[in-house]
Amino acid sequence: MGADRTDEELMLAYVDGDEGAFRELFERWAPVVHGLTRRHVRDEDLAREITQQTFFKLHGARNDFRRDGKLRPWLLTIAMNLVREHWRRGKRRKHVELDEKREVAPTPERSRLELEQRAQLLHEALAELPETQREVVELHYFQERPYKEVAAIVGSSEGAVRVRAHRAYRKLQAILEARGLR
Amino acid sequence: MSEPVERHEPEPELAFLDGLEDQPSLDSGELDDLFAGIQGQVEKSGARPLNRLAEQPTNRRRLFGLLCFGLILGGLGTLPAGYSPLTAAVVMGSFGTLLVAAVLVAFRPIYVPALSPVWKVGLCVVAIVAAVAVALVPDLHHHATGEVPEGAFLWHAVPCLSFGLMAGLPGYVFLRLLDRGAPFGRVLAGAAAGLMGNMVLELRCAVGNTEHLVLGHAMVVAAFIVGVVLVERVIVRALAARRTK
Repeated sequence: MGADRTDEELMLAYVDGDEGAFRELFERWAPVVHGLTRRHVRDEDLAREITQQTFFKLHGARNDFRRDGKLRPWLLTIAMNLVREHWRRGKRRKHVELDEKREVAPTPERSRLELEQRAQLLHEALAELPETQREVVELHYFQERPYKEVAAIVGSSEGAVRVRAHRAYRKLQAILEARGLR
Repeated sequence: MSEPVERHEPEPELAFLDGLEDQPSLDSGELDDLFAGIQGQVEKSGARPLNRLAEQPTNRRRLFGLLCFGLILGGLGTLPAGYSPLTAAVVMGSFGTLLVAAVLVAFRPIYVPALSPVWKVGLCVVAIVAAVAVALVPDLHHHATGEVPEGAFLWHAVPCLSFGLMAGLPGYVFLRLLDRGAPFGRVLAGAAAGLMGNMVLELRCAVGNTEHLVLGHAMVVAAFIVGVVLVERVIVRALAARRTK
């Protein structure tokens, strides 16, 4: 029956002592949170650590959760705050060397290695964006959140977020074109 | 996943990003490992009864924190004779406002966007500046008629500084127990406790020399923000090192 429950129902069940609900929430959201943090910190171990911390913080704040609350913005905001805190503390991600050869085959059928290389190039391009733009791209493009929700998560106005996203996408496109990817 | 309708529509101008996204990375075994780690943390945290304080709803934590300071002020402070309402409004009002702000910011929950560190550090700097500014305005201390012999300012400041630190310490400890590990939580708790120490001294100390007020009263805030916070950091690290041995 758990599969029918919404995130909010699961969270409220957890607040009421249903530990299985927390596990279910984790299984739903850990891959999303992990993907989000990995794109930001570019370090697998650190991304896993932040994913764990996100859910541990969610556990710690569970008594704040209200019946009319939405869980997804909570989780994404916790994850983004932890990523920001990571940057603030000056921990820098390990630099991952790229293969020298960056040419991409024009065919739509791509090998796993090619896909990994392309994802890596995107990581690098994202890393060149300012943190404030990167988090907007992360939430809007990768997490497919509407601008209104992105604005609530990053603590800014919707207009400001749209401007940031527009600039970020333009810059991202320029970086990728300069590297011959497009 | 709930509410898929809220997901945004892919925008045509973002087509340049197609095919560049990451592949899924966590398999079920890895998810199990990660969850086991979280469960371990949750159990460890649940084993410490004092951690229940930090798990209280945020509004309750804020209320508890402010109540604690209210009790300290009510218990230790006595309204001095001749203390004008204007002085009370300016001094106690400004210190009280800063104290409340420090508690509110210190307990800002992690599920709302974090405030910039500039705001948090700025609040602490304003607390120190306000304490020094109050000490430097003689008009605010007409009720304090006691004098300190010239050349003995430092010696006479020590008892007030110590008393101010002791007055704020219970509040600091309580705020730390209510804290969920928020960034700058220690520093903000230090600022709040320092302001509390300063308020108690404002009500109890009869000495009105500017030098005494700066060294013995205003420095309580700075001493808390720098000293007590550092001491706590050293103690916490030492305890953590002992546990890992």
